[in-house]
Amino acid sequence: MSKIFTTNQYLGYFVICMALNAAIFFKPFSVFFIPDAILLAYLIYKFKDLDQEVSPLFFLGAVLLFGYYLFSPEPSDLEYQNKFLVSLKPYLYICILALYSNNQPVKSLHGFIKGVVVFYPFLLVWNIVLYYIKHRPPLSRVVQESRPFFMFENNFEITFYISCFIALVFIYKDTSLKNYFYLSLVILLANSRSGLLSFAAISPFYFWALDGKKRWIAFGFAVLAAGYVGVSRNITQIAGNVDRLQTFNLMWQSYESSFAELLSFPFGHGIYVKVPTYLCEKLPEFAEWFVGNAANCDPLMLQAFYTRSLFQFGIYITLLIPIIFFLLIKKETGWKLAALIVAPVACVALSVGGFSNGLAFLGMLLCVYAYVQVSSAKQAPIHA
Amino acid sequence: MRISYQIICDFWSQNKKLLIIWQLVFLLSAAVYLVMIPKTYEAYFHVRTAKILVNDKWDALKWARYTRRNLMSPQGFTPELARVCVGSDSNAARRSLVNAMQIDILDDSGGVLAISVRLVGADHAKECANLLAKNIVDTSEAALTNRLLEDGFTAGNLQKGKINNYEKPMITSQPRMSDSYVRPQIAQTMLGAFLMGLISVSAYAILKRRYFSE
Repeated sequence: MSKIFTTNQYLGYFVICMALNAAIFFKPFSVFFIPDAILLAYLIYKFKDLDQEVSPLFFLGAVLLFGYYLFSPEPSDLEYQNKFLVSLKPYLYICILALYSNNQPVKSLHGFIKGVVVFYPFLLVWNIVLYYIKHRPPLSRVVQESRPFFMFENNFEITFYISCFIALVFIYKDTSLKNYFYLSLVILLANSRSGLLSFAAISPFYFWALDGKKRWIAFGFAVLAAGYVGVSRNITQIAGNVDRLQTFNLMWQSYESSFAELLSFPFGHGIYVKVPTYLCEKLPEFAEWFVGNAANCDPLMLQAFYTRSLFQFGIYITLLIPIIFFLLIKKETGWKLAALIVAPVACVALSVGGFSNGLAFLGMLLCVYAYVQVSSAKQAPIHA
Repeated sequence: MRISYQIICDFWSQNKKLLIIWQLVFLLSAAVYLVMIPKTYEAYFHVRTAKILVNDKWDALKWARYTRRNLMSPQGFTPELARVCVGSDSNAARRSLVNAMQIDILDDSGGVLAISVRLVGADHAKECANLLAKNIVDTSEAALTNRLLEDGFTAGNLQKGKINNYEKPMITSQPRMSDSYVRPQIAQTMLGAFLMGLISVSAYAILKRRYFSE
């Protein structure tokens, strides 16, 4: 595989990333749109190269997208309006994946992916240093308190990072222990429970790819990272302190805590219906945090993808969304790799946007493109 | 199905006129539909059902979620309410009245509900909302009277386990109308028309090429 970047170029990009991180850390500005903006720019740029077999699932995605947009019960005139359309992003991503899964970039993604895997942990360390400079916490608690990030909340970034790791290890076959060490370091520094879940989902497959001694060393890294997150986030006491369980409970109560009631809403409540006020008011800080108003009980406040999706789209569509992503990726990569690529997003969807998050989708798309590039390079005729 | 930039360009160049004409037809039809269709307005009000004080604790006589459940039942409306809101007292009309309501529970144990009623015509929606609010209050008041009688309530009674005090049901926020009609929605209707135009032309072009090409 040809190298895209030289070491000096890598270092140059790393310094730029450090500066960007410092700018965002000290003077936060709006960055949420960046993954989708990158995706849009890519779609426009590569539109002229569009030429592929499109799965019929494209039409299912389009029907769900327009169906929920056109037929959801209208929002009340007197209630706060919101970013209702954000909820429809998974269907848009399904359409994009169906249309563009074989429209990979010309340049190899190997260098970029390797760069992310190697340098991201150091960016997190840099962010922890910035946190220390700004807040001066006790040194013993600095990692635990800082929840470091590069540009976005680290739950999103970890999903993207794990996608890069999957591409590097399972597509480019770079099974070096160093890569797994970087991954373990990221999980430890980020201190994220959903990140830990994704990490646990893919680690056994990495161990499988190693020989005896290396497997035990990798296992040691994993235990160290998981142990640290487990202890520092008090993982044995999750029932009372995990906010996502509290929001799930709200959603569950909105169906009167009855599975039969959940089944009786085959398409959920639609994208506009608010979480019942008496339930939403049990967690007013969530509403405030998400929509800037404690009285705005928009389903966005439910935060975790599955919880929100169960409320807005119902159980059948919630189950269907990961399956559609899996089938679309399987079409390009085969089922084993597709399962690995979808697994981190499916895990993180327990906690954050998951399938409706632009960065997570970019991670999946990156894996698909890496695989298509590698497999088309293998099939390309060798010229003398 | 294969899709490529070239196929899209070819489709555009071969069916440009058809696409534009059909889009215009569908969009114009949508505009006529928007002008002609009766407009649905929303009336929004808050109501609180009766509360009782037992053992130093105020609670709704009936928790809001159960009041909501009763309101979502088509047989629960009075004939007068059905006639005023949906024009007749048929079963279908009663079901349509349920579909015209959205009920949010503001305070479950306090019995406070926010109800929006969506019906054709602003005056009609408001009249229905007023009557519905009055109905909820009357029903709750009747239930309160019964409960007080059963309990043998007397003013100033402080006995544990008995009703020590009560609050009558009331409309806490009078019906308020939407600024404009809430249905049909212009953006959705025009987008729907655009998509239907696109799908129709695509289907026509595909069928024509498959069955009528030489």
